Amino acid sequence: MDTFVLLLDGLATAAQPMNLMFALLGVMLGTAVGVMPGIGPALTVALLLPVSLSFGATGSMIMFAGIYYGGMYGGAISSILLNTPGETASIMTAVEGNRMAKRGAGGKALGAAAIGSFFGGTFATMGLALIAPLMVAVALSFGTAEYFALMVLSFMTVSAAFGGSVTRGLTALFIGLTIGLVGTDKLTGQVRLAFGVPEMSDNISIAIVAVGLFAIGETMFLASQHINHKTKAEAVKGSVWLNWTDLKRCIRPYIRGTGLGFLFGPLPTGGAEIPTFLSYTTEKRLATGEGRRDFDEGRGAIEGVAGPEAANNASAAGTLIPLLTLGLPTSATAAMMLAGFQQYGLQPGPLLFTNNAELVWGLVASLFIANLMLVVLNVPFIGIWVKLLTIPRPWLYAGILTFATLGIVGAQGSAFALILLLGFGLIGFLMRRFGYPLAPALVGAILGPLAEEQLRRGLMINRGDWSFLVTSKIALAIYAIAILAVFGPRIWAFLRHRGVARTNRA
Amino acid sequence: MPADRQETAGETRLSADQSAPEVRLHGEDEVGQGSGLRDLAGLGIAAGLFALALVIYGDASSYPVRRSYAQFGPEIFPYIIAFGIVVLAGFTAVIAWRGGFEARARLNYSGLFWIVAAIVTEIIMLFAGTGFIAASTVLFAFSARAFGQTTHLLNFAIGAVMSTLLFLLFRYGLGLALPNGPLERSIDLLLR
Amino acid sequence: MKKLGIAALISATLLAPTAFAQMSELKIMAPAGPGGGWDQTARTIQSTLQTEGLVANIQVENVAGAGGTIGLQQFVNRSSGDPTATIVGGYVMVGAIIANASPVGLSDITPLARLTGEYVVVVANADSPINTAEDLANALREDVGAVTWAGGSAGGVDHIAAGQFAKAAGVAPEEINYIPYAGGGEALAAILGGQVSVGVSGFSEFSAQIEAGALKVIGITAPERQDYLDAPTFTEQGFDVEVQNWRMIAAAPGITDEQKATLLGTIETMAASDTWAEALATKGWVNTFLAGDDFAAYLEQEIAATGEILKDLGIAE
Repeated sequence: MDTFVLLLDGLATAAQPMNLMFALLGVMLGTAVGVMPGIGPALTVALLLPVSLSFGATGSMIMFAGIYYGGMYGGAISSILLNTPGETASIMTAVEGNRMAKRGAGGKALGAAAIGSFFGGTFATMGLALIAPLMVAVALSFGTAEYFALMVLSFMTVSAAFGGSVTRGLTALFIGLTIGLVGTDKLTGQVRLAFGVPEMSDNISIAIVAVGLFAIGETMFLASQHINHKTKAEAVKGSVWLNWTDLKRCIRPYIRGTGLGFLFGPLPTGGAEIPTFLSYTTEKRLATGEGRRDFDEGRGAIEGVAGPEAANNASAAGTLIPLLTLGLPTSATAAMMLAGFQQYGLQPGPLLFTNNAELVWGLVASLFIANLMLVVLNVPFIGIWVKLLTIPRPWLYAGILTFATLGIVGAQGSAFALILLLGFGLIGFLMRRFGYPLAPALVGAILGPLAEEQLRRGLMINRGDWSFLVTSKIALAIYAIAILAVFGPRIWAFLRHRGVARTNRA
Repeated sequence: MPADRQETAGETRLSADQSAPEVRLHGEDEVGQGSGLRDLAGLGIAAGLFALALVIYGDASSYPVRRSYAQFGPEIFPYIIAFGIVVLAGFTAVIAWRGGFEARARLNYSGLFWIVAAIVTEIIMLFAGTGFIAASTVLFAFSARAFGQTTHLLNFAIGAVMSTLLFLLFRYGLGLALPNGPLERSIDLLLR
Repeated sequence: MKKLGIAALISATLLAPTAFAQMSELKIMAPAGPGGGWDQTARTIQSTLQTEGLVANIQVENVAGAGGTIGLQQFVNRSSGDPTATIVGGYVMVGAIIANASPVGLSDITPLARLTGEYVVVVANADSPINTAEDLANALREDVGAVTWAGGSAGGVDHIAAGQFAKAAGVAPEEINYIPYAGGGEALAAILGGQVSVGVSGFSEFSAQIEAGALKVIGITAPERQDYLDAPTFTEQGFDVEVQNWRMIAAAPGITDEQKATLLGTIETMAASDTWAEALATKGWVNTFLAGDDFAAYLEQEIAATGEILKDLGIAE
């Protein structure tokens, strides 16, 4: 009861014209920045921290929330229209979204993404308001064994989802794992695969890998084709807007994606990536009817956009749970928001909810507002975003390259990062040319180091005794889910087949 | 067998010559329609993967042994990954040998060249200290050229305008430090 | 006494504006990505100098990587002899230079002043049987591997503090079961979840949980008790553990003494200003200002001591 009174008070605060302005500014800025490959919401928040001091605590928090959600959506725009995801959270959106854009349904994909972001963000924020303490208990009960099981689950489901050619899917995954090895081993300080280059002794920023493999690789691939790039692309075939049938196809993916995002957001495993991976693989597996055909024929299925987009915004809200209650940031942007809190002398932690209830609920309320602003602002603009595709291709892709290099140079502060970017671009190009899927490479690069760390940490805590991996009930349950997710459909099909055979015989 | 291979490659090269004379660096780009033709490029990938595995193994075997309660150190995962890559390299070789890779479209070397040239030039210019705007302008113009846009002056003009706007936006709007050159320093002086 | 006061007044009102103020230009390199501790330090210096009107134009440049050694190397190569170039750094750099065998070191730049610092605390879950430093030492002596430490990166300041404690307790630092996490925040989850014996990190990482009573403090690595924390130091419990995660500002190599004095003057004026004090208070940073020759001597001593403990920990050769 109390919660709702506080939340309503918060909404009243957030709905003041000045705060609405901040929300609007944040969403616009976030979207603009999110569209650019390489510059994400975390960097934007970091750069705006000193400036925001003059806006006051509530104002700047509202703006940051807007940037966060706006950035997530902006990442979806470039993923769908240009196949150049700038944020790791929108990699999965690119897979189906860009196929949709190629057949002239980019507007629908954008619509599904915008509404999915709203859906995921809103419901996860409600969840945040209602069951934050419970989620904290769950997150804290996760130890190394459980995390390692989660990594195994992600690896298995993702590899299975890209099973067109098992060898190529796994090769991509192993290339990603190799990329993940480069740099300083966190547990010993041993530098691996850096070949004496100091710039490589840090782990390679995932932004460079993602932008290189996707944006640069895609540009190279297109330039290497014998097609007349000056022919105008047909941006829209049929209606730009989602119709009722489309929306109906999206509802279940939205619900599942929101659930996954909200569950995984609070876990310290690196933010929005895992839930989007899992959401995509779930939708691909569960699709029926037209969705099934869209997935199988490579036309781009709206479910594959709706699920991950709901998941990434839901995880953004989920991330706030450990941040607000424990002061534990589980993603880069959350870490920046923590810095934002500290700037006002606030220390997120168990006492924040009691000591600064107004601010906490003001923040939760501002998340609602920012979410709403995102839909209100972006749905009408879909028609305009789609027009991006009518820019003559040479200039469009030259522009993408310019944005991408700006983002990488600006964020890394060194031109050396561009050498790596070029290298990953060439790898991305070769992978495209020879039909290797790209997403598993990123999954490997992101999850590989996490899996290794968790396993080795667990072994250190248990002094070399491997049995800890199977003594946890939660971990065992996760392994069971992984096996079911990968082999379940085959077993099911086998059983059904036998069942059919038997009825036929009878 | 080798003679057979030679012939096949020769044939495709010939047909490639007829359609587009400038593309003839490697015949293998046109082979491998999944129709059982051996794929040299695919074998190249297998060889590359094998080399990668060797590099990982070589690097990992050079780590000093440290005591750890985990019973093993930073070398185990690289070993496992290297082993996995060797196995995958083997499979890749088999697929390539059997012609399992799909047919690939003819490469437009000029387009690819210009894109790589664009990025390489930008890197060289940034290391040489020409600053973000100039380097970015060249990048834009070269990559537009890669897509067949031969209006060079216009390309440079658009690139320059866009780079300058981006610089102003990020340098003064967000305070992001972009590489400075003479041009950036003069803008800085003007706006101070 | 009175004379001195007047002299100080004169120097503050007259000398300051003429000797140090209105430097026209200053560049600050933060050898880390935007948002981190060094970047925030650089940007706080920037805003304070501007608010106080000490420098007209200030630019912050980020060069991330390898514990600051990449930025340091670039700074030494490019800025030599440039009186307007400064770099922010800290204790982490000392260890990173040794561990990465960096070709340039802190002796290649001109140290100006230590600005802020943070002490490291060792904490345990409120339910833990370990209450004091003596308890922890006994547990270590009994079975060193059974005591798991959660802290920041290997060879970092948290690891060094843990190693110093082990040494003081009579246990070989190399033997401790130290489990590095990506940061104090991630270690926090492991401590609260009861997966490790003790946690070791900068005070600010744990302060909220300490205040809430979820964590208890075993000791702090400060030379004397701190007024923001009601807990004993290691020194007063009989263990010689003193570590400070400090941050500093330094100038380019090859500048003249005069140029160094100008920069030092500017920084001293800044550090004494109310704006600076206010900024530190909101960020929860502790002012541990130490300038000039005293700082240079301190730095030398820190480099030697860190090299030794890293060797004991088995991180450096």
